[in-house]
Amino acid sequence: MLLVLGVFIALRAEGDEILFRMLGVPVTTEALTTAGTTVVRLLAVACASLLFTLLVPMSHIVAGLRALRLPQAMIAVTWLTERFLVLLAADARRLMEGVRARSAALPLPRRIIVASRISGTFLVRAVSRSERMADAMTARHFDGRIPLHPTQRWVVRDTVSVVLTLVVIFFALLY
Amino acid sequence: MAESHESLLACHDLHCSYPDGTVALDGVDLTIHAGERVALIGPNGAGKSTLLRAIIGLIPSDGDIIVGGTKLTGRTVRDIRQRIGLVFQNPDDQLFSPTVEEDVAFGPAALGCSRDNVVERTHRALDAVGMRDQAHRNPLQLSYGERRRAAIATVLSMRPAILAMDEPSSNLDPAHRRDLIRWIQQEEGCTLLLATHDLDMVAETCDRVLLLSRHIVADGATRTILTDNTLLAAYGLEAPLGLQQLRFRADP
Repeated sequence: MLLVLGVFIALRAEGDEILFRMLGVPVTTEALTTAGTTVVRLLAVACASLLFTLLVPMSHIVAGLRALRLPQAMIAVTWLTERFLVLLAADARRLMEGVRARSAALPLPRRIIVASRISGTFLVRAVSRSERMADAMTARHFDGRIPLHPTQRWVVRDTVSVVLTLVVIFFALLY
Repeated sequence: MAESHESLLACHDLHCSYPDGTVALDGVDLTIHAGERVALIGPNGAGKSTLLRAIIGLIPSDGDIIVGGTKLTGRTVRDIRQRIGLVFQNPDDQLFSPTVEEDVAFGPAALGCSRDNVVERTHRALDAVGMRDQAHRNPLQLSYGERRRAAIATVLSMRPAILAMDEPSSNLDPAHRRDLIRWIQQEEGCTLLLATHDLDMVAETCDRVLLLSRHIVADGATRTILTDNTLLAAYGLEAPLGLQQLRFRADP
């Protein structure tokens, strides 16, 4: 996606010094520089976000977001999205195992048709899964506020992590 | 366990229908006293799971549900959910946190308990089901039996007055089923309401049986209900295997 975005910017951005033509559209030095810088910035931000998400447990992130005094609704949506995606991924794995067990001998076009049909089933399952998750949370007093796990406290190390992450994102956007 | 005669849960003329018009509960009347161990049995589609969900207000119903003297309404539903802990039929529906410990702590933390109290409740609940050593594991990576025990711990940590369990022995292997029965037999301090098809487990764990088929068809002592073959057969049930003469396929 980033590459496609880069090509799009290279073709659309203006400049004086024409380097070459792609599909009849002139590509300039300035356009290439703009495209390259944008792609690298976005890549850096995406990598930093991914690293942060993979290395920091969700409960720490919730504690951090709460310490930053973000609205409860925003924290709840972040937490629920992450949790729901994990549960959905597990459901998807089980569903695909079931499909593979019964469609291994099918030719590729037929398997594509099966996969497209499964996507509908998966969507229905996702809705049902969300309802059951809501029931489980409601039965345990969930009121829109994600309870903070007692072992998670905001410590100096967390502040350092957040500051370092912000610094990385800042420099990625700057250069 | 000392049994008091205080009514802990009462349902009067309870009706419940699904959006497609299917009647799930049709005039359920029941009373459960503190300290009782009650089994809710019935064929598939009898309304067992629906009744358990209705009494904690997860699905709308008509009629009266009174828990510890408090009538279930929009205002009291949170209070009632604190008194009745429901263990869902499928533990995968109950566990949603990254670790077992966080899942068990979710309920008490949501109740607003202090940090120390949440930790104490979490550890006790995990100890009760023998899952303390699995506290930091991801629920998705546990075996089915372990997930079942973790799901029970998530409810125990809320210290409910009534522990309601929906098909607690389903999909468990014999060893885990035996562990569960032993645990239920030893569990004291809360009233039990088990919705199940496992009549052998009922025989070993419950004092009283309610036979449900959209409404309460029979209510009596476990021995009386489970030895009434005519009654059980009329509702698609069979007497516990322990009470039947075992016949092998090779027998004439």
